[in-house]
Amino acid sequence: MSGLSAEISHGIRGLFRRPGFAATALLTLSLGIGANTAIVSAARGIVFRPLPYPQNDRLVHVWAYWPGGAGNISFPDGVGIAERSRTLEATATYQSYGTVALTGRTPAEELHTSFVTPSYFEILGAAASRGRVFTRDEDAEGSSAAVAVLSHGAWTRRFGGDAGVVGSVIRLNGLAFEVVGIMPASFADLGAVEGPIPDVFLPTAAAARLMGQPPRTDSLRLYWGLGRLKPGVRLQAAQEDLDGIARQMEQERPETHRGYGLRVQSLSDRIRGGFTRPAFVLMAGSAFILLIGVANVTNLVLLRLADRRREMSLRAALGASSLRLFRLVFIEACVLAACGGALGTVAGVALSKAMSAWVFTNVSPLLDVSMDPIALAAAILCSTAAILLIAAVPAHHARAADVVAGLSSGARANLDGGGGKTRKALMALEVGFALVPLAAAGLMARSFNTLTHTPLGFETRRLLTFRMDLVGPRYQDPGARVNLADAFLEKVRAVPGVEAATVWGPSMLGNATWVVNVAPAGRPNDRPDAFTMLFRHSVSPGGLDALGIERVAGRDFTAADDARAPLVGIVSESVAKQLWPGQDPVGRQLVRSAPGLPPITVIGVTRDARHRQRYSLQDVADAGLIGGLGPQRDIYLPYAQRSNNGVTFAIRLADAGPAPVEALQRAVAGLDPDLPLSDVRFLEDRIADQERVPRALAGLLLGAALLAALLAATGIYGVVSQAVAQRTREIGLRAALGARRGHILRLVVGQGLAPLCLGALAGLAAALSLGRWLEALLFGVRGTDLSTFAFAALSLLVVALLAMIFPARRALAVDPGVALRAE
Amino acid sequence: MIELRNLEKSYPLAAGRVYVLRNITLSIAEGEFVSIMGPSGAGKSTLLHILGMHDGDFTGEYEFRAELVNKLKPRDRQELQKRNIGFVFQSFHLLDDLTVYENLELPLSYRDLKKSERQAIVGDVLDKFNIVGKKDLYPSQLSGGQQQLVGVARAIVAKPKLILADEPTGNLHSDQGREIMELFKKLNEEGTTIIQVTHSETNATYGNRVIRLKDGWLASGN
Ligand SMILES: Nc1ncnc2c1ncn2[C@@H]1O[C@H](COP(=O)(O)OP(=O)(O)OP(=O)(O)O)[C@@H](O)[C@H]1O
Ligand SMILES: [Mg+2]
Repeated sequence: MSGLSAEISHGIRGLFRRPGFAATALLTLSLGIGANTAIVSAARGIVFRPLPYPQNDRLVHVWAYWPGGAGNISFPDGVGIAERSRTLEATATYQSYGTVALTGRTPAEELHTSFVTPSYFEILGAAASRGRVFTRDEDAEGSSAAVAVLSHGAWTRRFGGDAGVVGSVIRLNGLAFEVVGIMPASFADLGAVEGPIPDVFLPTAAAARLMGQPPRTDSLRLYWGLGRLKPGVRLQAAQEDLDGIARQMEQERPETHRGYGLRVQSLSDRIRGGFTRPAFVLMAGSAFILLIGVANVTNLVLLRLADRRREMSLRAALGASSLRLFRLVFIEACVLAACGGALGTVAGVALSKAMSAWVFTNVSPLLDVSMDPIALAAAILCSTAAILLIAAVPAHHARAADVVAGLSSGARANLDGGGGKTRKALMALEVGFALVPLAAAGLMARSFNTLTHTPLGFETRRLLTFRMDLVGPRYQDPGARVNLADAFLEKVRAVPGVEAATVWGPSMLGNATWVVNVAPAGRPNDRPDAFTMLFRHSVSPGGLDALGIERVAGRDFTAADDARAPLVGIVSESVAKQLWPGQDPVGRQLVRSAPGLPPITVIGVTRDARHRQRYSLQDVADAGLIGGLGPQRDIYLPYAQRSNNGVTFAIRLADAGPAPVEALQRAVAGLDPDLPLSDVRFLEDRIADQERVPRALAGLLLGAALLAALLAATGIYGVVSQAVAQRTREIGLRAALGARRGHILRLVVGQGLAPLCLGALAGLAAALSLGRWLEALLFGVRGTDLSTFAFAALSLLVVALLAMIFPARRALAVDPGVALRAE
Repeated sequence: MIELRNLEKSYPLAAGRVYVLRNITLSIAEGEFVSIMGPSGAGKSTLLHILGMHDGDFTGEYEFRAELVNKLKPRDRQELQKRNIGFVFQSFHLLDDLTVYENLELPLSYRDLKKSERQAIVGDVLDKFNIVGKKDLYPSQLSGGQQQLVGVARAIVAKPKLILADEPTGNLHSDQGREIMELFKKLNEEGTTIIQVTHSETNATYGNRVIRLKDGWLASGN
């Protein structure tokens, strides 16, 4: 074909001659393709990329459910599963439980701790990069082996990457542990699913000694199960296997396992289940961005074609075949699209880099969302498709160049010639495309807002929380623990700036919960569902007031409610309503599911408070149980009567500002110089942590939606301003004939109004039908919330109108004389 | 060269049809220089577009060098046009983004000629029209007369047998217009058939025959 290279170079020259047009088109296109590349890559990483463990498709996660709840298993459960399972070839139990203090250095540091059985490493296919991991003996019942394995991060951060650490002794909560190994940097620990990446791994046998947890009993559900399926075994078979084991447990230990069940889930679902849906939502959002980008560029090229109508007619008159005209426009659009595609891919790679770092810290370190070749190929495919789409529409219009009309004078004044309808349709599409992600982002933002503004039922401001592990011979006796806590509280209350102080366990430290199974006294309780599981919290007298939890009936604890007095408890309103509907619970008794334990007398009722995290994507994916939703079944007990070894304190400070850590440390050092404070943090920071993932998701979606709206506005601006430019003569003429500003504004804005509104309506319909699908990610707002949709549509229309007003103002500034001479 | 028999052109209008050309029967021989005249709105441009094969939507017969244009498919019609016809426009219609040289080369690029052949032809034409020095300028850098000179040069660059010109001097001063007319006369003497639309009796004197249109009817000259 002759002239092809000339046409390409002419195409490039044409782009350079219109830098505004080229820049807008390139920006639009590269943003669309870039966002798509990064997000497709991320979504692939989240949904499809294999986990970094050998035989990852055979790894499973095991958790428990019971009437009214679901969560961790006990250590004996883990042992039972290991002994009885016919479908799992290996099992492990592990728990990530807060921090321990790395003592013996100043200042003392906090290490995030994971207690694991030795099989944990074996199942994940991980070996120590230096030294070794634990042996079975070191984790055996009653073992006193004091060994620790460091994560690679802790080793480099806290020990300077010194190889001599292996074999040395470190002090954790004052106890000596020998470092026997260091994990490789590539080891992705499962603790990160729930919280921070662990710094140190310890045998589960050490949990009792170090954290004061009761040794491996059924009453303590802190563990997760990890297993590897035997080759060829399906998940369903494993589930049936575990169902059988759970039934056996229920028969053997009815007091702790009434209505108990075990659930098995693929490890991959456990890690990414919560993110699959958000990933698809984001992917849909980015697809809309790309569509808007394509519509935009198509529009721009069409507009440019309208400008070139005379040229096209002339070329046809000079002998250009319709194929040649098609080629001319197609090539120019291809040049544009190819540049946009290349830029977009570069932008996508950069965005992907930034995003994977961001996901690592803000969402989960177990998700690998970095760019991969397949995503890159998808991006290139996207750009190619975009190129074809962009080039084909205007090129198609170019073919039909009408010589007679195109060459007659005044042809250029007529906007509707040459693809005017297509352009209006594209404008409508852009608005529709932008509205869907905008509405979705609106829903996410409202959901996030509801989430963060749902009252917790207690005052979180300036509330400092920390833990003390009262372990060792000195604190064997419950009375010693109570005395220390009382003495400590008294000293703390005297520290300047402290308004109030109380024991508050377990409070909001992580997901760990203490539970008690109870039934109202005097009712038959031989059926499994007669018992209700309540979350139990230890507080000091006056503690509920200190926390701001309102009491609605009965009395508070007093110093008289001590170890010698009968057991008393204060229940939440939800418990009162469930157990004694329409009756006064004060004075009634609760019997315990375990035989031989004394009953608890209810002395008061409080408003519901949300102690557990309000929202977790994992909850959504696992079972749809959202901790902060629905009735809160809590019971408060006086610490003096129920003194755990791991005790949490809450200190209300008078002023904002740094935590008076040193004063607190002095207070405790005066009582026991070896006792470290663990996990010192303001409650608001902990809450911010819990909100991190939903916040990140809402932010990401909002960003995508704003980008979509911006692109749509750019597109509309382009269309209208080009239309104004093309009608300069007409507008000048009208002005010369006496048209007032209002007339001209109406002329310019009026022709865009119908497509805008049509597009908005179509977008609303699409958003409404997609909203249902979002519902599982929403907190306290329906997927079809009309006010959110209306707001999104209105704001988009306002933005679109603004995009039209600017060129309209330019039209108003047209000087009739200049405009008329322009032809 | 051209035979029109009972040619009619109409546009649909709200009530029925509006006729722009009525019952045109006309023959133009090879080597003629014809001027089409008539009041505004008479249908002169319309007729020229039909003759130039831009507009195939008419009734009656149009025979061009023994081919029945009204029976041709659009693609063949364009082929016939490409081989035989060159156009000159009242408002020049040069491409603003292309240089004089590129404007002249444009029709050739649509006619499957090798680059070297195109260069030779454009070189000859630049020389013949005395505008070699202007070949790298853009249209906006030329005067109106020079632009129309390029317009005429572009019309003949593909060696058409027929040149169609719609008011070629309409946007020019009288001496610039005279220059173009002289050029047409010279081309005609070299054998090119020319049909021009003009309002100027002076311009018409350069030709050998005048066809007058009135309200779409042929008034005289057939
Ligand atoms: N697309 C159209 N639809 C309806 N009528 C049309 C159309 N195009 C042209 N006409 C009519 O056809 C008639 C002839 O137009 P044409 O342009 O051929 O006139 P003309 O003789 O060239 O006039 P002028 O000397 O002013 O250029 C006019 O009355 C015009 O209104
Ligand atoms: Mg005319």
